[in-house]
Parts: sequence; structure tokens; C-alpha cells
Amino acid sequence: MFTHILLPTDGSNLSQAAIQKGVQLAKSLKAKITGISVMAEQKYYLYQTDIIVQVREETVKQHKLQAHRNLSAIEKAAQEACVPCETVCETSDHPYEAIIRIAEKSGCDLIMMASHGQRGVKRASSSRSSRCSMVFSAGQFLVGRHLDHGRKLAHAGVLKRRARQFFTYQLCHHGSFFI
Amino acid sequence: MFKHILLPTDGSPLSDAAVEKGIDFAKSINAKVTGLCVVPKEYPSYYDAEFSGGVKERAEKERAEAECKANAKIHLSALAKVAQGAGVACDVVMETSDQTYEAIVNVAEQKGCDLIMMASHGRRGVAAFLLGSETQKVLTHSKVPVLVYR
Repeated sequence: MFTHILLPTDGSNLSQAAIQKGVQLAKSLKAKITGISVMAEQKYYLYQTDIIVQVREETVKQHKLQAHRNLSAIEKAAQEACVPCETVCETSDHPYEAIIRIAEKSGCDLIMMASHGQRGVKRASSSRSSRCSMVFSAGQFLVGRHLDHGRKLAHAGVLKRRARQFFTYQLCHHGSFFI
Repeated sequence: MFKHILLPTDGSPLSDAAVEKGIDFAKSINAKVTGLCVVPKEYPSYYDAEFSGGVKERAEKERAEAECKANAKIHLSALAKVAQGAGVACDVVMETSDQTYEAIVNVAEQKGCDLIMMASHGRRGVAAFLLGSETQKVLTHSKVPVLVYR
């Protein structure tokens, strides 16, 4: 029934679990998969001090590395299961938009992604791609949830929130951010 | 991969489409389905007793509940018919609950479903804020994978 599955990843353990499930499903349905990793856009700012330029370049580099790592995990999983696979790396401020765009462009009939399942304040304050894409898309969505990882990774989404335009995801993950 | 799919329905055309898709999907992966319709629970109101001893209001609520149940039965029998037509093993459940999403999550766990497949009306803005989305709540609270049909 489903012939082409899109597997968005943010590199989290939850995403990894969804990828494994997605590859399994693709195998059982004889479908092909497309992996996608969305990097945050690095904007130019009014005050172009050297340090900002340097940090931005470094951030972009780190993002690309991370995206390639995430995508190669999908490729590896697909290869092991003998599922045809291709990968896309996109840059967008809103991951859900990029996910929907690529789903439509490559003709995917199912998007399978993990949900961090945040509630309450965490949910209101964090960017949650699977929530957004679900509401705006015309495709179908399979959202995988995993018992073990449910709450553990909830904080990752909060870190991802852009408090300032140059308050970036990677910087958060390295524990050093500036406003 | 999936053996048992839960198909919650509210009888809306969108829900019907999701049910049809769900049964198609179940057929293609040899899974069985469980149809679910959640009837809102009516509670006796504090004000009911104030006037006319609450008799009229209670009768009204009972009538509303009976109507909801009759509707639910119609939706579920329609679902069972579609499943039968497709040759998919089907079971139907009617639940009474004031929190639809809770009933859906609970039934999925009780019945051992490994996938919930449901539609989403996809409300945005004010409508989303006021009415909310049961699918959204199911997504947040369910530990079982959810397939949202749009």
C-alpha cells in the first residue's frame, strides 16, 4: 500500500528507533525509503562581528557533519535490510516545512517519524516538528512512539528552541551558547 | 510488521476515509482490525437539581446519550461491513468516556493493538485552540505508534 517512505531524522535516539522501525516496515511492504536531515538556517545579522562570523561557519560545519552522520545511519540500516534508499540534506528554519516539501517533491506516500511526545509547557515552548508537519501536510504520517525513550529525550526539544536567531541547536548541544 | 490495528472513528467523512484506508492497509499486511467509537459521557449537572427536580434535564441527557450510542452503533456496523467486504478480521468496541483520547489510548493497550490509525481534521489557529484535536492528544499520550491519515 505504501511504496515510498520518508524518514526524517534529528539524530536523537528516538529518531534512531523510528528509523529502525521505518526500515522494517519498508522491507515488509517492499517500499523504498528516503532519509532526510534538516539543518537550521544560519542567517546574517546586522552586527557582523568576527566572532559571530566565525561561530556561524563553525556551526554550519558542525551541522553538516551531524546531518551526514544521521543520514549515514539511515543508509546503513537500509543497506543491512536490503531496502533501496536515498538521502537528502536540507536547510530550513522550520524542519516541518522542509519535511513536507521533500515528501511532496519525491512523491513519498508515508512519513514516518518519532515524536518526543512533550506535554504542557515543554510542548508549548519547544519546536516540535512532528506536531507541525502533521497539521499542515496532505500526506500520511506514521508517528512512532517508543516506551523506553519517551521522557528521556524530552529536554532535547527544549534545547532546540531558538531563543535568539543565533542561539543555535549545535551550540546548545555543545553546552556553550551566547545571546 | 503490524498485526492488530485500532481504527477509532467519529463517523465523519474524514474518519470514514481513514477507516477505509486502514482496512486496505490491514489487508495488505494481513493484520486484524478493531473499530472503536467513543461516546461522550454525560454527567449530572449541579444545576439540574435546581429546577424541576432535574427530571427534565436528566431525561434530556439520557436521550442525548442514547442517540450518541445509536450513532456509534451505526458507525461501527458500517466499519465492520467494510472490513467484512475486504476479508479482514474485525472486532468493534464502543466506549463511554468524557476524554476521547484517553479511551482510545486505553483500548489500544487493552486490546494489544500495535498501531492506531486515525484521521485528523487538521484545525489551525483559533479553531485548533478552541476545539483542539483528539488525534493530537492521542499522539502525545499513546505509547503505540499512530498513523495519521490526512
